[in-house]
Amino acid sequence: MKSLRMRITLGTIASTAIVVSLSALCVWFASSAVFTRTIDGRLIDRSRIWQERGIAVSSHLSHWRDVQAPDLPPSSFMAQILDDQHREIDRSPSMPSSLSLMQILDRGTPPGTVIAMRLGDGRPALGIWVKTFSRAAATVAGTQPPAPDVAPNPASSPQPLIALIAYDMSSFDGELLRLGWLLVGLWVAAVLLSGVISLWLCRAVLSPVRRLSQTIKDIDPDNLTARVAIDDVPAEMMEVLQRLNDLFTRVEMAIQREKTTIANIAHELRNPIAGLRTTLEFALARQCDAGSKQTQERCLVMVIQMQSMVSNLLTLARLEAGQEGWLPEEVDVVHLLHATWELLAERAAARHLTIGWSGAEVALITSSREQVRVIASNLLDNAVSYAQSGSCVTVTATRLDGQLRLTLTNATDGTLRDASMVFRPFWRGDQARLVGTHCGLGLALVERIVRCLNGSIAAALDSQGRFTITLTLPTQAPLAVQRPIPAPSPERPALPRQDPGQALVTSVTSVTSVTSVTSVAAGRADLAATPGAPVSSAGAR
Amino acid sequence: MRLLIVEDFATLRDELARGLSENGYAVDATGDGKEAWWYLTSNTYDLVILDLMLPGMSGLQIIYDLRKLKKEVPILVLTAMDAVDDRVRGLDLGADDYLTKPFAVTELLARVRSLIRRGHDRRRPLLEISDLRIDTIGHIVRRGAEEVILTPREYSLLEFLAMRVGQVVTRVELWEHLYAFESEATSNVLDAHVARLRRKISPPGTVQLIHTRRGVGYLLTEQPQAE
Repeated sequence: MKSLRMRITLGTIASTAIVVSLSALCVWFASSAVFTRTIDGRLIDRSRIWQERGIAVSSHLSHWRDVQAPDLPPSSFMAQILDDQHREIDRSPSMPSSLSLMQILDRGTPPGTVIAMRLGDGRPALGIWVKTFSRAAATVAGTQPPAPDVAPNPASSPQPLIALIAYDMSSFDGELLRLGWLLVGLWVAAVLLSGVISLWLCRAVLSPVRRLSQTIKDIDPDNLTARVAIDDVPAEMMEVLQRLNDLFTRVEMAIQREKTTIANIAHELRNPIAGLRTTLEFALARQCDAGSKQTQERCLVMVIQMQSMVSNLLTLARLEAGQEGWLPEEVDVVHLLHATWELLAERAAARHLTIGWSGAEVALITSSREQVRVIASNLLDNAVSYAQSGSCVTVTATRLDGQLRLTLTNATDGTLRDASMVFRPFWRGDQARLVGTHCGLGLALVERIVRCLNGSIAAALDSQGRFTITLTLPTQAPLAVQRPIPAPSPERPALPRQDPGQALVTSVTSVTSVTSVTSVAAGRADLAATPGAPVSSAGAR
Repeated sequence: MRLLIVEDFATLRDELARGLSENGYAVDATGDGKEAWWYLTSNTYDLVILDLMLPGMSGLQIIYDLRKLKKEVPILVLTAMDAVDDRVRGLDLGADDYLTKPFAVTELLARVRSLIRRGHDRRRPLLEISDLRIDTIGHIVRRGAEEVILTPREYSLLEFLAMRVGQVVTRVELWEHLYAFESEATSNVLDAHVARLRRKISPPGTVQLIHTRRGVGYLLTEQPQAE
């Protein structure tokens, strides 16, 4: 991907190069054409004169300098006079004896036509031939050279002659070559100059774009309230930036609406779920037949699942809206994991699962105990629900530089095909719900919490079907999420009549309530919420 | 023990009232904030179960105004607003406990018992008067080694007297704490309940624990009293 600067620079240089090249070619060809045409004209003019007026042939040919074209260099002008038997009668002094212009005739060109040719020594030349006649020697005798343009005397019985005329073009080609090099030099200078100018222009013109790019780059993707400052930006960009900010506002509003809607729905569902649960739990405490009791217990299990889902949804909405905060405290993550596993031991034993611990035995971090508990619950519950029966779940805790790395690995039963999907809300590897009571929110919740804690999380599935989740947590909770509970005010506190949804979106934290469903199934009366039990957790797999 | 349930979600309110009544509590219930305020200022309760989002008058306002009137009735906030700020605000205003919806009934009952105990300056769930033992969690009463089978009403009566052990409890107080507002029971019913309770916990040959203070009320104590 080329940068804008590179594109503009290359474009400018290329266009400059093309324009200068075309101009240079035009100049070069025009110069060449004009000069060639001039030579052609001179040659034709001279041949016509000789054709019409004849050639005054003398014994010493001293008149050669006079018959040359006055505007052509004498050294380049060559002529050879032949009789009608093609025997050379005379030649110009500029023409070495080793050269012959007979090729003009040999090529079969018509008289009076200029042709390009090469002289015997390889020099380029233009040539022409005409039929003429000799004028009387008397016309050229005396001290005065005969006027070349004097009309012939018909009474002197003219002798038919052939005049071969050539013009040595080597000096002209040399001039053209020099012109060519000059143009190439100009081309290079123009291209270099355009490159320098375009770089300077890019720097100057793209400076606001670069600043804007940096500003936009610095915007935290999770910060929906961020806007691009439109002060001191070029007028051309003002509208674009305003539109961009409008777009940000619309995105923020849309996401806010979505979160608020989810939060409102989840919140509104709490009352009927509370009513349902209360009704069922009181009903279970009453005397009734076994069938009714079983039905009530099943209903209660489903109600508790609904409660878990609603709670997770609410927490997710708050996390994604950036409204979750917590008080940091010292948490031993390994101890928390052990405690969580104890709660799951019964279910793990039912599936013949074992757990192997390795790495640090104590892993203290300063973070939110409740959120770390939710992470531990969901990770281990996920493993207990979806690990292959009879396999071993491995948990490794490693302390790194200012971070704690947790790795949880378990064998899968083959239902999971794409590990990258497990953090998506409501995604289920097991679409048929063959195992677990999950709705696919737990790992999504874990991912959001880890992100809020400035940690990272990744899932991978190897070729042997072993599923690994690796997460790192900073040993110090990010300051951004630490929010102290406000001290009580001695004054009369505000008593807001809040809209439930509004109350939710402005709230600080929520604890994902987790309740044991197995206790209901076992007919136990203690249906109290058990913090840490992982039923509400996810079933992404 | 007499409770007031203030909850605007009718189904939940009715179920709570029914379930708590079955657990031996005298229950008044309303879904309106202003009506709740009237109940609270007109009657005496051992505990208020209070929602925050109420028509007429908010739960937080009720808590604030109650504490301003120096009413010490224990308040359990029962709400769907589960944020830390909400809890802190409710507790700072004077609520004694906070439970978010949905909740487990067992947890609610445990909190109700705990708050009622605290309202009577009791911490232990086991009340002991001489050889009378009252397990306030299981509602099990034993006199010596023998379990005493009581009706919910009798248990409530005994529990209330036990909470105020050594103190004379007036008939009005008993009336206020044991019968709901819409109860049609008469004073004779109260006397009959006390008489039955007395017979059950103090069978012949045992020390009489419930004593009558004529024209005043009743007294539960292990000290012998002149009737």
